[in-house]
Amino acid sequence: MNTSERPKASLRPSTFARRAVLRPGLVPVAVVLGMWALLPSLDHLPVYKLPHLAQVASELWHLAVTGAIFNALGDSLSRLAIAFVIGATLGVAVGVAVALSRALNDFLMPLIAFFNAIAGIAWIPLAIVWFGFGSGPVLFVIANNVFFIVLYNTLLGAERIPPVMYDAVRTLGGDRRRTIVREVLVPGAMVGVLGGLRTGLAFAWRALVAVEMIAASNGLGFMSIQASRVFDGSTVVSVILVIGTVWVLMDRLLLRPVEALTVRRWGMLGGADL
Amino acid sequence: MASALSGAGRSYRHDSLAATPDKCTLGRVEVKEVCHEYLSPTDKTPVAALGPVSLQVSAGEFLCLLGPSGCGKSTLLMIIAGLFNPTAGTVVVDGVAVTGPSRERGVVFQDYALLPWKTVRSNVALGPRLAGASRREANQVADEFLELVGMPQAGDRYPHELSGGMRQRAAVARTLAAKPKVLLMDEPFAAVDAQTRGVLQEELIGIWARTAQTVVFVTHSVEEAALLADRVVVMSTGPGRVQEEFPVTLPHEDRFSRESATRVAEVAASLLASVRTAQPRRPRRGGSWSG
Ligand SMILES: Nc1ncnc2c1ncn2[C@@H]1O[C@H](COP(=O)(O)OP(=O)(O)OP(=O)(O)O)[C@@H](O)[C@H]1O
Ligand SMILES: [Mg+2]
Repeated sequence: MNTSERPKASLRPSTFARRAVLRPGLVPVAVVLGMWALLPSLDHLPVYKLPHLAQVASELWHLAVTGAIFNALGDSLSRLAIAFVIGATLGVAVGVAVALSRALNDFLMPLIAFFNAIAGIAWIPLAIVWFGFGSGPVLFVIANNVFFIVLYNTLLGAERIPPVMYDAVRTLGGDRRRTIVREVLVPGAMVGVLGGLRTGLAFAWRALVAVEMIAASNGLGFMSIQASRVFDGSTVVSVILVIGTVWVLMDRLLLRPVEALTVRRWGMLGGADL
Repeated sequence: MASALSGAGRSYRHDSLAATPDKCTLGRVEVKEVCHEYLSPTDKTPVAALGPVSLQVSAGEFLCLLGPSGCGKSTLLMIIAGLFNPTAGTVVVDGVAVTGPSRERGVVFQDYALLPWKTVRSNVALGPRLAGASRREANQVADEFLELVGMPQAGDRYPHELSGGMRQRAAVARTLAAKPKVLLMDEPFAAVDAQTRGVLQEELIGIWARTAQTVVFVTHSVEEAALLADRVVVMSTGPGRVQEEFPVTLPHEDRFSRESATRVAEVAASLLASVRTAQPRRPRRGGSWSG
């Protein structure tokens, strides 16, 4: 147990939450928007290559008023939720099982190492053949992606548990299996699990849009690729803005609070935050 | 499984902290010809670390294991705990051979080993919980033991929010709350400052006087051994063996008083003489000894 870098940890959640809500990096955002607004006048950049800030703003407004962007967002988010829950649940479950059983570990690790190396997106062609166009391939690719990331991180988390934690519980009367899983393995692997969930969600969100561009007929990715076919750069950029904003919100409102309530509170994060 | 657990539940009885008379007859430890070899990390050949070692600890006795770094004190303690299987020999507690860890032999680990994801109270309540006590009951026991080690307010905090000395107390409270017959302590006070150490030592003796548990206490410090032990076993290195035994006859209740300081110092001096001869002929740096 590393005890040297912990004292501030208990103060962090609240400052974190406040900072995240009140000051979500407004200054750098304003600088970038300002540069974007000035760019067209500095150079003769054609609008189809980079639409003007004002155009995008009005397009975004239009998409919001008609509800088109919310429909697309809803489609994408519900896919993300379903795929994420499936992938993450299986990832944690298999991770715990592999961490517990040497036989399972020996059998599955080579497979896991192999499939982990295959980017989720590499499955798209096959997934389309299996499931046809639509939500099927999107869900498959994303869940698959999340599964391996979460599994891998769960295993890493389990590996990092100091053996003396197991010894302590066993000398207090814990039997090998049941209590050890509940008292040591699951909470001890939590740093890894949460890290995996976070990375998994981040990857899933990126990949989701890409897969929707290829394999779906609705959602943000589809909206973007459709717009690009008619050289509607404003919509493409609008989608980019939405994707980024939604991620920041998910991270700050969902992932960080969960972390603050668990591993951060337990002093198990060295203080480095992504 | 279920029946074994409910049986275990009934076995956890929370009486007052006062010693129950029959406890004094429990917790007799016999170490018989125990040897231990580790596989060398480089070429996987066995390296003798301990033994053969034989020693007896009577029920309710406070035994200190003293010896130079690397002589196998921790190894021996882990073997008594049942966490390591010895390469040869057996450990028998109250007539039953040790085959694995059990709540009858509680361990206070050198680096505390508190579970960071549990509050201090839940850490201390773990022993009673695993023995089948209800959450309420277990928390109540935990609070009593936290009180006993002098930190009644710390129950809701997490281990990382405590100082080293407080963690050490919490670890002692957690082990005591499981009501082991034998208390195995591996240099529990090595990492705290001299002032705190003195307080903890005196508290430990106070608690031990009431619970009458058997204690095997590993230490580097001759002063600590002289202050605490009924008997000191000095070990030598290469591989670790029993070199000499010293009964300490000073009454426990007197040892912390200023008047008896010189007599405690005399005991410490004779222990030191014995430890000196137990040092390996080619002294090595401490780091290379501990795993
Ligand atoms: N896991 C291990 N693998 C290989 N050798 C080990 C291992 N653990 C301990 N040893 C060796 O066994 C010997 C005894 O170790 P042990 O930790 O029991 O000593 P100790 O008396 O507790 O020392 P210290 O006072 O420094 O804690 C040492 O020589 C050590 O190098
Ligand atoms: Mg040791």
